[in-house]
Amino acid sequence: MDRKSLLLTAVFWFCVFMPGAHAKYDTRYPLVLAHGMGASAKIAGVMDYWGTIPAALERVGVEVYITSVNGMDSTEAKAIDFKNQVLEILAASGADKVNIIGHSHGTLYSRYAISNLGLRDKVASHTSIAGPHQGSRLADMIMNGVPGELHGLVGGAINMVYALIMGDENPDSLANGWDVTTDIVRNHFNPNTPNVDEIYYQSWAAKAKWGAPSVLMQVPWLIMLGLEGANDGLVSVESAKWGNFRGIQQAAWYSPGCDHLNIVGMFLGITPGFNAPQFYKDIAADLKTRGL
Amino acid sequence: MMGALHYPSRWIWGMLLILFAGLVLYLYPQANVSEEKGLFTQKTLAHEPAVEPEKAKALPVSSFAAPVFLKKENAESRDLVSDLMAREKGEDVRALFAWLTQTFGQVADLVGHLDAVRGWLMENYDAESAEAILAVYEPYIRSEMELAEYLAVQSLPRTREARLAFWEDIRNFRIAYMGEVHTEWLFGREMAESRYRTERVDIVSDPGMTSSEKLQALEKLDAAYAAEREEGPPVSQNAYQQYRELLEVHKRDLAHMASDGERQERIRTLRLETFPEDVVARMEAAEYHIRTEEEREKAYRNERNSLAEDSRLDAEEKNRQVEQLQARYFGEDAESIRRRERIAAALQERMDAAGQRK
Repeated sequence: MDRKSLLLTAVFWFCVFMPGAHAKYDTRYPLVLAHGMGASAKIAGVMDYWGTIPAALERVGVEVYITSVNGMDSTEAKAIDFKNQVLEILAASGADKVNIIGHSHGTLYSRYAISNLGLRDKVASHTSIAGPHQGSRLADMIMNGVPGELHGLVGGAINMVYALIMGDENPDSLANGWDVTTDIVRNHFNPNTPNVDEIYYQSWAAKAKWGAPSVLMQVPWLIMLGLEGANDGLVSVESAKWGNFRGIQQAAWYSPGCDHLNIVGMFLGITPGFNAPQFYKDIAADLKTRGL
Repeated sequence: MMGALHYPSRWIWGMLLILFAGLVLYLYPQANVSEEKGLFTQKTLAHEPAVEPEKAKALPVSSFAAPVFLKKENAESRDLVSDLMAREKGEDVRALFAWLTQTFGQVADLVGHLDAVRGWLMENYDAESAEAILAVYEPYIRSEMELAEYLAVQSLPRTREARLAFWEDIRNFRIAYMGEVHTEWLFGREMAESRYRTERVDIVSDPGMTSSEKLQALEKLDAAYAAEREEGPPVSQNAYQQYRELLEVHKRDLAHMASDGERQERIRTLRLETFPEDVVARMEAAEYHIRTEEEREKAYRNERNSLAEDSRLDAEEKNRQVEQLQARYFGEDAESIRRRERIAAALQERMDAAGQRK
């Protein structure tokens, strides 16, 4: 065997047995995170929406990107902003496609961007975490509960808060509220936002079992329990199903459950019985096994 | 008068609804999923397994495989855990622990959980290693259970100082259960990173600091982290995320620039500091594409509005011309704009109706 053959053989065996510390998680396409309603990539400008999740993903070799759109705006406006950021990410990364992971309203505006704004060829998969794919009856109750005369006033007040505190540009909280009502989502959004055959769609739901660990979610969880049954404080388990439904995150036996905020590791990344960074690492590993 | 009576009645109905929800909760504590199926729910392939507590050993809930296999690499180490501690593999151990809690978490109590975990460890590790892992896992899970109860009565820290105190409090809580060595081994890096992220976000988003002040403060923070942990700070290695942060750092300066041209020039400089030239060129091409699309849509909407307001055309003719317009502007994507308009029209109708509601 000449030297060249020996060298090639050595390279071959090195490649075969090369220890791949990150081989398990490094997806073929980068992950793009789409946050939910009521916050941007930073909550009130001082806290990361996704907490330690992006760092945990990056540490195991995942190329991950965080997008940020208005906290309160119509699905369409958020989708346009999201699409533009995905185009910028594709340009910066040199990737052909991305894997989208959306949370809450982020699952809807990212679906809109795929189906209606031309992202269909640039997305390999869409993972939905606690997304209101059949709308939310809590949103119905709130939006229908505001008297007509106060409709504009309430919307204006919320818009002002979001513009001043959250840094939103021209927010539209009323459109956001109506956009997640059951009538709009079921009868108008879903029929006009069809899934793309070439894209892999999957979803997870969160469930608070006997109470919501986050104080903010406790009252809405109770109301939603009466309205829609099992839920995470804002979105019911049934509404969260889209595409290949992978299951429910409800934390361990000793925890009241995994609520709508816990599923993304909010607020400080400590969720009894549920480890958010590990959950997202597992999703990356799973996408990798699917060749995505 | 009637209207005035009408508003309070809504709140009364709201209160009744909450009471009803409470009743449901009382009578139906397991909160089973309702059978209602949405119109567009897709066929599900994997459902939450219906795990009876006593069957949990046989039916793990997680649909994922174990994230890591822990193994002893130094033959001279006393046991697996000593070996892992010597190699600072706390994060791998935490990953396995998180998976064990998740996978065997749908049980009735701690005894059932530990039985299931022991069973799995015995199946997948040699007996000595399984016992060594369990010896750390048991105080870990007890500590996490107590911590859950403790956290349930804590209020959310609202200031930077309160958040830092919160981390310290949790660290001390864990030390009380697991000892300082194991707490530092399992959680040390995670806690340090969380503190670091809190401080970094505070600096980057401080509206009172100039960009140079922020950059100096970040440098100090990085140096302090490196000195404390003897490793580099956990900043994103992703150039795009670094660029986005840089924009945030320069936000105040960018907002105060005299002209848009000057602002664009500064952004280009920031890009060139972060990316190679070919990437900057690609990003500029993407921006040009986005601008072109925006202008196309704006022109389409102007023409569409003119058509809608044209009183010489009847409804049928308007529809015909709108379709032609859509085909001319969007070609193969014309159906997308029609779908968007259908959603927008429904939303507008709903909002108008709500605004007129008495």
